[in-house]
Amino acid sequence: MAEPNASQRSSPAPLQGAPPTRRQAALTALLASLVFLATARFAERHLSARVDLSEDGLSGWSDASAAIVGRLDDLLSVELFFTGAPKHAAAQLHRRRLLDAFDEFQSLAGDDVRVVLSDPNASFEDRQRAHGFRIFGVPMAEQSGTSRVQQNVYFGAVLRYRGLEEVVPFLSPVTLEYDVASAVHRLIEGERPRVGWFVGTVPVPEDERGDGPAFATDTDFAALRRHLEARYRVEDVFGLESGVRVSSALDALVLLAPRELAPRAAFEIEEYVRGGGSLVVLADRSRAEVEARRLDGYATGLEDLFAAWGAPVSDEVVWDRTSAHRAQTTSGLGGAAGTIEYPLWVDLREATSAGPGARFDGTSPVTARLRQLILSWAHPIEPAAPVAGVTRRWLAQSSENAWSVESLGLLEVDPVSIEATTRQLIAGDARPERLALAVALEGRFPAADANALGPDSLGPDALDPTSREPVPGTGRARRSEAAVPARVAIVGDADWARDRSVVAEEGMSLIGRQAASLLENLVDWGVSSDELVALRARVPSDRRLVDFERRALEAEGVVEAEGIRGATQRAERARSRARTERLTWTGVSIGGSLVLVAAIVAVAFARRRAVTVVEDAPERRAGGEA
Amino acid sequence: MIRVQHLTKSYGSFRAVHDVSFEIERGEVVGFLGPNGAGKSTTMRILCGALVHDAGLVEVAGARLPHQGAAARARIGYLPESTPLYRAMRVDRFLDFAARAKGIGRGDRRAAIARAVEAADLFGYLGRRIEQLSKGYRQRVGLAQALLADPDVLVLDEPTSGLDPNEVVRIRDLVRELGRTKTVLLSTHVLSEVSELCPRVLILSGGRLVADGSPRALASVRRTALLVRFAADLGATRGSFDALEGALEVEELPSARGAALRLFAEDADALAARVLALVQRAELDLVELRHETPTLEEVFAAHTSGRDERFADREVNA
Amino acid sequence: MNAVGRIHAVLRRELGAALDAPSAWVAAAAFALALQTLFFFAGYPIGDLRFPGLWEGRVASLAVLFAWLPPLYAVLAPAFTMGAWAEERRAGTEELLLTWPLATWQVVVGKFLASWLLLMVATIVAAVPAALVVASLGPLDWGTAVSGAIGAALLGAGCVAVGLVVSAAAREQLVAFLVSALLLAGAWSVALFLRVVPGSIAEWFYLVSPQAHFLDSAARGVFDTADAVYHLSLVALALLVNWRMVEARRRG
Repeated sequence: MAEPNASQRSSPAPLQGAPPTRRQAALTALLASLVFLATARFAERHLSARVDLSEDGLSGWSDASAAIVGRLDDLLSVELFFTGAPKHAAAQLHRRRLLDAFDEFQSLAGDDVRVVLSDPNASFEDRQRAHGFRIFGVPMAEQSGTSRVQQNVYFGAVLRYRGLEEVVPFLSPVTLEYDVASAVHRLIEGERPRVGWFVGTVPVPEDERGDGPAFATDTDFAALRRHLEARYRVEDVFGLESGVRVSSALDALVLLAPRELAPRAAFEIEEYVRGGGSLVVLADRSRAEVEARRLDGYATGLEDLFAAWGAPVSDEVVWDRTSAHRAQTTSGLGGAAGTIEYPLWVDLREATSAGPGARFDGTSPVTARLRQLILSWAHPIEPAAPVAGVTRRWLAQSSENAWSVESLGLLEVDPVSIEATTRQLIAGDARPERLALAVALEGRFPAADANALGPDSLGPDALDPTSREPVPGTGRARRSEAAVPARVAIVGDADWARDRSVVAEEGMSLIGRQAASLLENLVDWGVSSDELVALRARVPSDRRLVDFERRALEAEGVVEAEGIRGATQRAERARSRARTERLTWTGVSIGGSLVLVAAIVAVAFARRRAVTVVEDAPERRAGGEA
Repeated sequence: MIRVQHLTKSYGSFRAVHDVSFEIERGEVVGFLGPNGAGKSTTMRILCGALVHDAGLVEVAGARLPHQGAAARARIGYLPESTPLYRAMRVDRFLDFAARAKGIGRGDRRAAIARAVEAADLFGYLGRRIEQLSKGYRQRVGLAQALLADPDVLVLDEPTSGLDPNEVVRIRDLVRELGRTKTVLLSTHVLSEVSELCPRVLILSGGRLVADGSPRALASVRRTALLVRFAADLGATRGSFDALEGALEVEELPSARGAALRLFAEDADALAARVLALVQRAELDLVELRHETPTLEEVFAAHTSGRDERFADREVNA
Repeated sequence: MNAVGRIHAVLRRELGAALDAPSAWVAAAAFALALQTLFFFAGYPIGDLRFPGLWEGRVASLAVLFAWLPPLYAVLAPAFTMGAWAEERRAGTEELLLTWPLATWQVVVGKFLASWLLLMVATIVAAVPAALVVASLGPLDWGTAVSGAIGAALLGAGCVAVGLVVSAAAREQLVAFLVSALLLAGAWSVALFLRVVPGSIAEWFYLVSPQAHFLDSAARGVFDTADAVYHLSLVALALLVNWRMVEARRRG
């Protein structure tokens, strides 16, 4: 149709600066898409630098990990047994997050670390090896319509360093940093720290005593010991009263409810601490016989030592009105069950803000992330004059509404007598105050007394449990050189660590895990693995919303027995109140948005009325109205 | 000011403009004439930078299009045929936007807007939305926009189409006024407008430039004529008119009463004398005798009446 | 007047036009209502990341809010951008812009900034009251909130840029809306098909989806520069194509 000349002249090339034709624009679009894909891929591979802005800071590796990794002198090889092609999206996500984290780990560690991937799903050999390391797949199944997708997914890791191996059977992005960093730490240390374990004796019940000794070794605290054994070599410590030294090879010594220790035992402990060893004491000075409704008091045997170190443990117990524990009781008279507030059991909760209101020291890594602890018949650690060379800081404390009361011989657990006692205390001379329930001491510790010789060991009947040879009843010279800096933690109660407080139907209860966490932190702190304590503190913080239901139920006075699911009128009222509150808040939010929209509309209307850009002077109109 | 040589532009296979060349000097007021589809709008759009031509040279105010397009556009004010405006905007805000978009700095902006508003006589309407204005006033807004940067060249595509007579008069006055200081290129269908305003006319037809000159010069190429009307029928004397010396052609015109003739001649005055002599001799009742100079319509028709070959394929065979 | 001034002029005009039109306010209000209802009550029950609504989950987290942003942007961004070029074409004002001494790229950038700003204002109107309510009822992680906000801004910029290109290519507003909504919704839903698709292609799919570049990272509090590169390169390339397409109009 067009003449040949014209078509030549209308080709896009000749004019300088000519705009593109439609075809060229479409081509640009296609090219641009490809460039975009390539750029995205390139950026993913090479330009990825992540910064964790979240408050929890759980993604990414913290300075603590960097410090641990910095101590590597040789090559650390990390073999990841990961499922290569997970079939479930959740597993895919899991794998991706872990790989991203290990990418970062690799760049953090540089040449000291080599990360290798093995796929147990794809290779029989890899699967065998994984099983050999006790890394097993987690079955994942999903039903979609008639088809069922099933796969065992592996996310285990084996770390090797200088001939030693650490296995992490299952990695989760949340605990990844702690698992890996502590594994690396253990590899670097070469050995697991050794922790001495000493449980105080318990009185044998009279009816069982017969002719035997009045006191027997306590088999309690087994659950927490098992927990510690995952990371430490926990060894029993014997024969202190017979003059057996506490081995200086022990990185820490844990005393659980020591009861009337012989002076020689106290001396051995003192020597250990002054020699640089760390000590964790759960110093309980009372034992409750609930059925007999008795609270028996006793001495630990370390009173002189505590006094010398500026942290005397009182024989009185804490009566805390504000942090009283709510317990469920059955009335002895066959009446209805109910809840009472029992001020002798202190329920310590995490305060959302640090400062005087807090029950736990938010700045110490030992207690920073602790959520709850229940101390029963706890003994406050009295204030004392500061001891030269030793710093004391509180780790846990009561509310300001607490008194230190004499150990009551009889236990009264009914509301009436509790009320009466409270009124007595309020009316009495003693003012309510804040009492320290756990303290951390650090520094060079002085001796309990100035004697050059320690006290005598127990008599010739005593046998060294290891060598089974009689130990002469001799004293020993007290250490004369200056003490080596050490750490001592004292908690005024041991019941929180007992099996009955910690164990639930399946494994540990929630509060048991808190207790385990605290003990582990105390030991970590003692062993000076500050880095690990800091890492352990990195768990997702509790971000629960205000529980409207619970608040409403409490306000209505609905108690546990009626239960959240109770159908009483009050419970119903409470639930509908909670519902209303929720709707109100939703309304507030939507209302807020509508207010903003209204503001925009207002601006729009104001704009309409605004003055013209140039003065609109009708008198300057040349002609008449159009 | 404007130089166009061998301009060609096609939309696909449709040749809109073919080998058009003209030059317009500074200060000229030029009319663009032509039937619909002749290529006027296309040519204007090419001059203003909205379209890019396929071949040929286009230069405006010394700037070569398209690669110096920005420089050219800075010197041109353009009012497109459909007067496209942002209907929802207020008049003053639209002009402010136009001023900013044209690069008029803060210091000069208010003055420039005020000048344009005064020239387009928009005072009193600045606070109204454009959609609330009548067509005439919208046209003025369009003109104001074109005038904002005080351009050297004004290109107006059918500025008076669709306006009522009063508005038309006003626009024409404005164009006359502007023509004193600026170069104006104006396209229209209204030939009287062209006669009034444009000392020079370019006629486009079928995508080609078929005439270029002053209306008088173009008209003078045509033949003049005499119109004579009689009260009564001519009868036999009709033939004597054919014999008159200098009468190139005698055309009979329909008349309600009597007769009317149109005599074409080269020298109309001499023929008029002869006709009067004849009338006296034949004792005819002469009612009217007047000169008819060829109108622009005739000029137009003469140049543009041919079939537009470009549409040949699409004509329905009658 | 320099380029910034001209871009600013275009920006002002576009924002003014949006402000005057009731459709913009209605869209913002509808978006706010939808987002908040979903956030408080419905949760995000799609795909493998299932989150319950705020009242059900009782956790002070904005995860559901962020999860709903990509699909809602897939509808809102086209709504804001559909008229940007298509309307100019319809009203003929495109011709004005082409004949003014105003560079096309300045118009492109100005329109982009205006649409993006509108989207961000709509997001703030919808999300900030909800965030404040959550923060007053529990310990909200503000670090994650800020990182999520930055991620949302980048995501919004990408959606707007795509919407503008489609608007420049389409002849009618409705067509522009449908095509860009389909494109954006398609990109979002790609993540849902990850398990159906073989591994190597899944990798590319994941690369394209906002899940990888927003939900997995910025919405969780981790800001990755690769995400910024992804979104910014999308914006740059889309604006480039946009510019080419508008300039191609000069060809007639």
